[in-house]
Amino acid sequence: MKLSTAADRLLVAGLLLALWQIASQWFGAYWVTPPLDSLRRLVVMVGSGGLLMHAGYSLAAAGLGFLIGGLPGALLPLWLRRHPLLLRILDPFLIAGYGLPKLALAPLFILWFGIGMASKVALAASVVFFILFFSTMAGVRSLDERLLRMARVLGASHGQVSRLVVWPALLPNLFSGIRIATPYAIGGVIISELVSANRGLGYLVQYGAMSFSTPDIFATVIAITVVIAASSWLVAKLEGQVLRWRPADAVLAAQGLS
Amino acid sequence: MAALLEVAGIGKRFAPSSPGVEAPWVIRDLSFAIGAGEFVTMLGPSGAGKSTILNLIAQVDPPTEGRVLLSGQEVYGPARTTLRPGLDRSVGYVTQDDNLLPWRTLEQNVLLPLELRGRIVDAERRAAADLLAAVGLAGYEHYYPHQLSGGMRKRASLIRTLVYDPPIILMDEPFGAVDAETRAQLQADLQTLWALKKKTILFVTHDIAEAITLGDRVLVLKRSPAAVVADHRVALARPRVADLILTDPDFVRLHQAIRAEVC
Repeated sequence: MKLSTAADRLLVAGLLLALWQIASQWFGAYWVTPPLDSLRRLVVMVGSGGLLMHAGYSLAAAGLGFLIGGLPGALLPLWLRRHPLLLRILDPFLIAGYGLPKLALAPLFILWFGIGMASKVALAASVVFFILFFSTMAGVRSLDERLLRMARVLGASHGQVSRLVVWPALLPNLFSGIRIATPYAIGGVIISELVSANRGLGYLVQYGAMSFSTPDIFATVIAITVVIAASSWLVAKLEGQVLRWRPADAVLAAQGLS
Repeated sequence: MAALLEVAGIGKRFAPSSPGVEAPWVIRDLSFAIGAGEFVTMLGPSGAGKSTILNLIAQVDPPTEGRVLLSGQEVYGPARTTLRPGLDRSVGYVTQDDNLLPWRTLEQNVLLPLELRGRIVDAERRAAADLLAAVGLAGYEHYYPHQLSGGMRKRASLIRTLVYDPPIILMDEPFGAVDAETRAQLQADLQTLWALKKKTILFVTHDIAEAITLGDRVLVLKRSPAAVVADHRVALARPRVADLILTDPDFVRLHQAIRAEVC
């Protein structure tokens, strides 16, 4: 990153903080906790150990949901590639599933799986599955037939074609899916915790609201933002590692930066 | 002795674009045979179905009629109607596009056929390194395809086929998309490699000079539907240098004869 970009970003951050401070003064600190007080509250909540436990709980639910929904979401297109008829039959149902607002299922999952972690995992899994399925499927649809053919002529079995040509070719699509799904998975867990839970960051927000403690809400929302941003950063790092063969301009294009 | 590759009465037409309409024949009643160690070039105008012919031989596309035989054995025809590309790895195919896998380095791409076959032994690794060195690619082993020039990628895709030593190699205008200087270099490289490994090659091109420079025989195709109209034996001595043979009287005579047939 160039130095000037860093400086510009710092400027924007300062501007946002100033707006926040002004809003707090305008509406009153009771309704809008000022930045510094929010941060102080955050430090207290981290210090008591409670916040970290709650964040860990939410992250564990999101991570588990990511695995349970993500693995079939990423692998199913690989299998359906060889079964076009089945794909055609399932297509409208998958599209309907993708369009279904999964957050509206949160109360249902709580009824089914209880207020514990299972209902949060289920929601995250249902969100992640469809996002990863469609991003990976987009990769399957744009596969370069010539590469597959070349591999067959070189003597590759169907299994080898899937493993050595199709899978690596899909990885860029899979990662763009993971990048989109990560904040959705964590957000989904938190929404589910808002509805009903006894632990987690969403529970903390809800608890803050019930006890009319805006500082608690502000501090927790900051924590949520940090957790999501850190996860996204981690995913981007991993993507850079796995896809380091890509030319630099393709990387920028994939991230929508060029 | 049976020819190494024989194509007998092959015809091809694709599925009709709309029902009730008969699709035209792209290839009809095409026959030729190639003996072991021969370098045969196939010459035809653009759109004559040259690539389709190679696709049929490589078994990535089924013929509508006729038979393909390798060493006298029918690999596709009335008796065998399932496509088996890469069967016994007996037919190598260097396509117009280099088709290197973008996520593999040059070396990993070149070793791919060996990896598909099983564990790569050191002797094979060394042989691949020698081939890469022979076409000036030593030192680029760890580059990704997008970091290499078009000519380098072409050479890499050629080496990828040579590395697993298929008895027959099909080449589809492999030097079509490179500049004239690189092309002359690639032609020289190919002749060196051919003399070295004594492969049987069927080389498709629309360039008359290239066809004569490289081939022991030149098969001339006509268009719609494609069929062989002439089979010339090229008596010019090897090695042939692209620039020097242009003035050879035999070359000129053959060039004129072929030009009359193509037009």
